[in-house]
Amino acid sequence: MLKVRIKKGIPTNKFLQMLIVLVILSVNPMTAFAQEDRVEEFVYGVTFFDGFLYGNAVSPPNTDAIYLIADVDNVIAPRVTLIYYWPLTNRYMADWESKNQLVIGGLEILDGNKLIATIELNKYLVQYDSENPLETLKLHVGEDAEAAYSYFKELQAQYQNEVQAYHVAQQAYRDKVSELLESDAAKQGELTEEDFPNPPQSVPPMTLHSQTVAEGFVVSLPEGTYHIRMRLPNGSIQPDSEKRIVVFSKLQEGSSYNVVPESRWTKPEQSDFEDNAIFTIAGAIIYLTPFRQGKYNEYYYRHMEDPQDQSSRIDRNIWVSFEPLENVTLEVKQGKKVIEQLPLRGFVVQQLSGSAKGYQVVTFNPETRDKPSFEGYQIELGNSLSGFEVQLIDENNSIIRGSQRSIRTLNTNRAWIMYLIATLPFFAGIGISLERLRKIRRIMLGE
Amino acid sequence: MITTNSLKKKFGSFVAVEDISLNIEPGEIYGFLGPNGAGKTTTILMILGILKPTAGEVRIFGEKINKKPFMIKRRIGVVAEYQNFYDEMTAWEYLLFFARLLEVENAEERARELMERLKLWEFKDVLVGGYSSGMQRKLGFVRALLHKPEVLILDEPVSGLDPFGIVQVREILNDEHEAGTTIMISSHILSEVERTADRVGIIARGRLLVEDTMPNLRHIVSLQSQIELDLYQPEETLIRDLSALPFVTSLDRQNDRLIVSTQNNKDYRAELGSFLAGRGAVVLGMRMIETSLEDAFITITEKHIREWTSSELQQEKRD
Amino acid sequence: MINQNAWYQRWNAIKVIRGRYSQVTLEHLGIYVTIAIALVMSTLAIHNTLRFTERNVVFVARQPLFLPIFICTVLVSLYLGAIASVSVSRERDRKTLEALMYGPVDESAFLLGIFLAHVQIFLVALAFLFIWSNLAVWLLNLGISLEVYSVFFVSVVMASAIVAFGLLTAVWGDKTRTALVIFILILLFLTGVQIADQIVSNMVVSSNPTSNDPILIIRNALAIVTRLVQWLSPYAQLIQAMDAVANQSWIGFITNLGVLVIQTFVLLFGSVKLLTIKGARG
Repeated sequence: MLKVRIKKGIPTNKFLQMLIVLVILSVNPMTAFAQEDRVEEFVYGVTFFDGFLYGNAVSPPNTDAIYLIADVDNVIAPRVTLIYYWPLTNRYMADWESKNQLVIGGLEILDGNKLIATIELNKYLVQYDSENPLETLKLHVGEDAEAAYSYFKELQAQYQNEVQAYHVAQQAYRDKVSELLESDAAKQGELTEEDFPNPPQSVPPMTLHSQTVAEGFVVSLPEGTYHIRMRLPNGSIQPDSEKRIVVFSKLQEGSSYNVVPESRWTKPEQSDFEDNAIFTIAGAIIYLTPFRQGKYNEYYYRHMEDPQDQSSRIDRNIWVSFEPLENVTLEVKQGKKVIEQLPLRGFVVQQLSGSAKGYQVVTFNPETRDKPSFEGYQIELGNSLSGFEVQLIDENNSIIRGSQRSIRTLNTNRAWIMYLIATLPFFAGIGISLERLRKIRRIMLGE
Repeated sequence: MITTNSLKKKFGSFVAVEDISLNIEPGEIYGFLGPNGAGKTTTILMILGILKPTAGEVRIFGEKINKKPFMIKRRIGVVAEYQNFYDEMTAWEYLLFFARLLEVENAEERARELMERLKLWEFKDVLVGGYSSGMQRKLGFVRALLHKPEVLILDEPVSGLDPFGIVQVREILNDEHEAGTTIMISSHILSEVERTADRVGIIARGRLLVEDTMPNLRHIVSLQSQIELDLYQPEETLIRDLSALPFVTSLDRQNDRLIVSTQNNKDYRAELGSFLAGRGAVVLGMRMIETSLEDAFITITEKHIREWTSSELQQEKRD
Repeated sequence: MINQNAWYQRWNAIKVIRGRYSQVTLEHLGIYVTIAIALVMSTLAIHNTLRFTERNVVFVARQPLFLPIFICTVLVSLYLGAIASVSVSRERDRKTLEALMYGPVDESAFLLGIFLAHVQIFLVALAFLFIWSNLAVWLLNLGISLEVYSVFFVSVVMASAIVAFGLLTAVWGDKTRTALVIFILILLFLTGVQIADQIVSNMVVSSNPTSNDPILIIRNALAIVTRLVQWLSPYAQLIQAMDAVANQSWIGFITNLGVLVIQTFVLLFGSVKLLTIKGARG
């Protein structure tokens, strides 16, 4: 018989402990499920350009098509990995950590039955600087990818060195300040600000983002529907490699605004290209933050981001907002007359101290803060009813496409008058009907 | 004026009208008669272009109705058997509506004239739905006559009218006839047709049985003429001798009234008068009893129905 | 001297019938009650906008008048389509059409006259809506743009299509009740498909992506039917025209306008042809 000593409720028999751990692990349904259903599959890893940045997606065998934006470089990487079904997200997932094997071969692109291109594997990586992503985003290919990655590693090493040096300097600074505070001069109150050393400057975070160098097929196609398949070195077609590629274009360009009311700044509204009227109430202060925007077919775009998406519809379009617009001025007009030009400014949301619950929005001061809470244009509505139009102009005084909006303060107290007006046709009808009856003389014959 | 040529209408397998070829001359009053279900209304509707014939053609004013419907229809006035009106309109509004459709000149004057004639003027602002059936029929007449049509097609024109109304309508029809309007009347009131029609067409079971003048119809139907004699206290010998006259086929006596049947080849009233005068009889009255249209109608239709029935029975036996 | 040209005479008949039906409808309380109800519903939509703005300080919209205009024009056009259908059916039921056709009136003149009468009445309703809109702009400080007037314009063509549809159902259905039932059922179907599509497309699919989930099958089927309905339904075309206006896509706007015009012509032509075949007597 197994003797078990229980010390403070915990069985101390080592064998039993291991048994308990194993039971717990085996009872975990997710682990058990995941362990059993991982299947080695050929998949395409897709690095897609979404109009702003590059994103990543997996196209497992259960999806029949890959969706890409036209006329830009995208990457399709052939991989063998372990695929399992994850019920929580209702998707097939790739276990890259367990297996991530590149499949060597060439990618054939067909238009109908006609082979139009054969693409070889190439090295690639995506890099961008987060301070200016639009201009710095780049898909490096081939030797350029290696060079870019080397550069990134150098910057990374330099950054690490600077951080290290900062920590050393910071420590030295603290030591010095402690020393000064414990000195006789400090006790006698003779120390001044000049006696203290300047604190070391913190190292700004590294803004260059980079993937590691990988291999894949770099694809840039015009709009249309194609077929792809992978041809292995032995001439055969890789099983599960045949798929459709749907290449689509932006339908329209525009500008959107994030509209933030100062009194409810956590509840912004989005004004897309078509939402060209912004209504508010008299006395309100609102902030507009402009974004570049593009319209895409909802089904194509969502399936580009997630090939296993199930909620999008082919007959709908969506506006996708990208990076904030910069170096643009907001023109405020009444009729044709420009009454004001507002620069893009930073604002900070400051919590108010004390028991009063609330906050205030103040202009960003770079001397007191690193960065603003948000950037935008402040518009103060007067207490009387007003209405004007706004639009963005760039440095060349050109109007930014799709940036026109009208802003109006609504009179919210007169709805009852509108109800009254709505009933007027009824009274008009009563009058007309009575007039008709009056003209007709009904004689009941025989009476 | 109105000509139909081998007109035929089938509703599914039922043949409502078969091979109707009638001809209505300009300026005449044409009576169109037949028992219930004979196909009169169907024929009239085909003439008016409301129903499309299965076969045959209709010509009015020498033109096919389906080729120039607008021009033909604005020269026709119609009083249908079942009058259907816009109940929510007043009589005046109703008439002016049709006057505008027909582009009647001086429409209000014309409408007023007709309404006054038919004693409807004081009810002009009454909703048509409040009119009696007789008043509605008169209103239908006014509508039919608004535009001074060259042809009038009347289906049961006096149905529902009181005697005054009948007289009013009759007067109007006479005036129209004298003005040269061609009138086609379909009616069950045979006395009215007999009184006014120049020619009569009789239809039964979808076929035109006969189309002729009234005298010819009577001649077709009766084998003998009858003369009604009123005598003052006639003697028996006189009556005996009268019945022995060579042209007298039979004699019926009802008190002092004698019905003398003679041969159908001529009018024997002169010979009868001479005989009675020679015998010194006092003649209170003498008149020819003519075969009525009703008699002619019944005789002709019954005869044909008997023939058809016999023929159908024989056909069934053969089958 | 009467112009003997058949087209002139047909046009005269159209004008007279149009005048009669316009007068009858405009002297009846029903159209005014309908317009009033439609305007009250439109006011509700605007009132909702006001309440939302008051609560949330900011309200972003396309044209705030688009929804009220849509509501009003849809309700009025529905009423006019129904009464156009009833008008034709009643003429045949009580045989007054036959009496009309004793005179210089044919099937096309009759139907076109009723069609134009009801479109004319829609313009009267639109005048009320126009006044209401401008008062809303003035009283509530809504702001108005030229795009709103283009929506007014396309709504007239939409209403024409609905009226023409009413005429077709009347000729098809013979009896008044049958015609009205057909009219309502088909419109309910067109609307119901779109509503069902909206509901099902927002439902969560619970099974895994590769299995034939019944909801997916229904959703795909509804998507196909909805695309067809969007071409057939005048209301869907009006919505698309409003989207095109908001997007400043004038090609899209003209396309929707063209589809509505084609729908109107096809429906009118179909009803005339069908009435010619069936005849005034049915």
